[in-house]
Amino acid sequence: MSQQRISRRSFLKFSAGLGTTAVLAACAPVQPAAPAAPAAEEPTAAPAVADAPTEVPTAAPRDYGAGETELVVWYQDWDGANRMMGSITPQFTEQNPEAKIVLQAIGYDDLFAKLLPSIAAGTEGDVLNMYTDWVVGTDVTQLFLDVTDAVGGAAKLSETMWPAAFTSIDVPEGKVYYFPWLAGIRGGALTVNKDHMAEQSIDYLNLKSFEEVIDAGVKVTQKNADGKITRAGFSPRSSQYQLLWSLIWQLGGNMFDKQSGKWMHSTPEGEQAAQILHDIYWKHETCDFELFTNEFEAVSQGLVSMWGDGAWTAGVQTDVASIPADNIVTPFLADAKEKVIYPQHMAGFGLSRRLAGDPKKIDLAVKYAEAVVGPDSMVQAFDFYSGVCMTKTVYEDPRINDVKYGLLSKRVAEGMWPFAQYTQDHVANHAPASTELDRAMRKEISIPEALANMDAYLQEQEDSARERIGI
Amino acid sequence: MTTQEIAAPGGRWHTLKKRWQSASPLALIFAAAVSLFYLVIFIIPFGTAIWLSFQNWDFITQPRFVGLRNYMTMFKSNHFWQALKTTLMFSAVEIAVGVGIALLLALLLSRMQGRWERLFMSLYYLPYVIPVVVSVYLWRWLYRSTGGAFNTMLTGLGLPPQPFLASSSQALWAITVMVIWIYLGSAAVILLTGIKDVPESLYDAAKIDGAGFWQTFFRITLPLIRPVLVYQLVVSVIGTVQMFEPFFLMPGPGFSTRTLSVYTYQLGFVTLNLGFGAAVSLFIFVLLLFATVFQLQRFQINWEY
Repeated sequence: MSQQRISRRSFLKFSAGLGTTAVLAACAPVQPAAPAAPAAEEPTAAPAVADAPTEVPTAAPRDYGAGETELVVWYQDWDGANRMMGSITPQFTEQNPEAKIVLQAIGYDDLFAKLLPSIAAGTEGDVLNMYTDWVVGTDVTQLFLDVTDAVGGAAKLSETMWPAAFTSIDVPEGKVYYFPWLAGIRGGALTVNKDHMAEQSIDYLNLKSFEEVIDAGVKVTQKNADGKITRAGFSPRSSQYQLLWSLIWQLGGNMFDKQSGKWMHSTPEGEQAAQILHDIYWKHETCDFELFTNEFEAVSQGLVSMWGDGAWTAGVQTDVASIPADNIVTPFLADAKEKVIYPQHMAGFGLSRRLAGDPKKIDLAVKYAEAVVGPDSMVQAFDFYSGVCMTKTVYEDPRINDVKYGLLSKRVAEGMWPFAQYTQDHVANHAPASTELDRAMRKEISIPEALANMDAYLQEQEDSARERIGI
Repeated sequence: MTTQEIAAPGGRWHTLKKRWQSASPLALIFAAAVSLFYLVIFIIPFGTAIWLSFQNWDFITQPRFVGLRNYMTMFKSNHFWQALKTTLMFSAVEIAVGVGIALLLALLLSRMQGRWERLFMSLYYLPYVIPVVVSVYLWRWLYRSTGGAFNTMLTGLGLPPQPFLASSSQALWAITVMVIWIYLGSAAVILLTGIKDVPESLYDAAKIDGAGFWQTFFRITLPLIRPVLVYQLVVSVIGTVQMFEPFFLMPGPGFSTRTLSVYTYQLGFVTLNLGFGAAVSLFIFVLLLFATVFQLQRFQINWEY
């Protein structure tokens, strides 16, 4: 073998080649892959966003009970869920000594990234926490176990829960594939800074219409000598996409036809609804695009008086940022033709399809999921969580009066769920459509152009998903 | 190996067999391990990506063959062109400004001695050591429209506050500044190594001939560090085109900061359209391949001294 000296050029060439190869290798999507980094908040009002601004490292699994039937539970790792699961699980294993529950808390983004690849690979947990908008782009019947019979039929479950809870995803009629749990209801509820409302003696609990919300927003908005907004009275920044859908329905229009799978924001009602939102920024001037980058942070700074980021923010802003907050159901338009509200997504629990051949495990998993979404677990959640759940019996439980956000949650849940409506579309990522709307709100493009762009994007996604699912 | 051996019938096979028989078993094990590693981390995923780019798949349902539809949709999509434009604009400005400043910094550091050089080098290198997520959160605070450090400074100087990340026209450049800050030290270290490799005798000769600072820089330093500079440019192009975290964690309004890598991630893991995502990732691969080969062929010059 000949001895050759490596020249500087060769070395650099080799290094560049090696580096190039290594970095380019990352181009190919390796499955399952986790995202490089989490996005806990988003300024463009994309619908799929964490319902709790927590970013804690994935915790080590916690075991409860010593029974021979083991259930692995994957759930979103946030303080509230940890408290709920940590409280209900020991009770459950005590009542069911044959059970051993392994709790695996996983951060929102990690859970989102690994849920579908894990199910595809058959490595998922037995009981799986999910958000409905994570799974609409695929065939839900291939994701989770059909638990209709195990829960005694959909009708039985509907006795304890609001019917809307089962219409969030397109599933075969009368079938149950998930246990509805909690909902942040972005756009379905508005949260107010109570101090700001008190300054102007605004009785926010009695705002009768969406127009009155805007008027109240105008009153509490503050501007400097140059006319620049220094405090936003009403910010639709994080919820405008959800509000748009509610407004279109209330105006008597529709943006999606489930049967044909056709998206149609470009309608007179669509334009009228978008114009109402546009006017909030440019005519009523209760908010602009320069005061803050992130609405959630701005609320914590006391820069926003009313916002629609989700009912859950009232509790977090009160407890963490000392912002005295309260929730109201987003009022309808004064002349609403339909009293309908779009409440974005919801969190729920599905069971792994791997359990199909194990009736004992299915029985235990169903009982556990029912316990998690049942009153014993949920009532205590409202001691720190100001969102809503879909379980009516939770709000009928007298203990709801004794927890910090119990009555607040009850007021919103009872005021909102009877009017809740979902599209049952199959678009997994609405963010680009939401961004098009945002561009129109910023006057970067016209409203008709934005609505047409939204329809084009959503239609492409809908068609693609329907082709995959085989609809 | 000689030409005759290759040309002779069966010669190549014979040589390979001979080599195989005489090879050290340990060497074969090492070679096999590396090959296997390469196969698993590159060849198979890459092949899968190519296959996937012709499918409509969401992890769960059966993949459906769609031919070239993903590529056609990609080239027709405004979102794709917008992401490509954003990526190229960011890449061009980051490399031009970042490498330019790093070169100046390396020149300055090369004129320092001992602990001062080490101290300043450490200071400039520090952002590179900090996790990108931490840097992003720090800069997000600096860029806050209301109550942010930069706007407090601007207002203090009597200048109007800026929206930074809240503005479609400023967000990309705000992120670019942060990225330059992060990678400046790393680029400077590489360039400094190249500068220090230039023989001192050449500078002495130039000094005797009366060459000034800039003459010395343009006539001696720059040509002689060209291989290092090309290396830095190649890794910068690859790094900037593939950059993900800053754009994902610190997004500007609308599509103003959505680069190809973020677009690919969204297509694959949020939109659940892995085939489309794979098509875009293969486009990035081809783009980088051409850029790298072009740079290496066009700018590489070998100096013997």
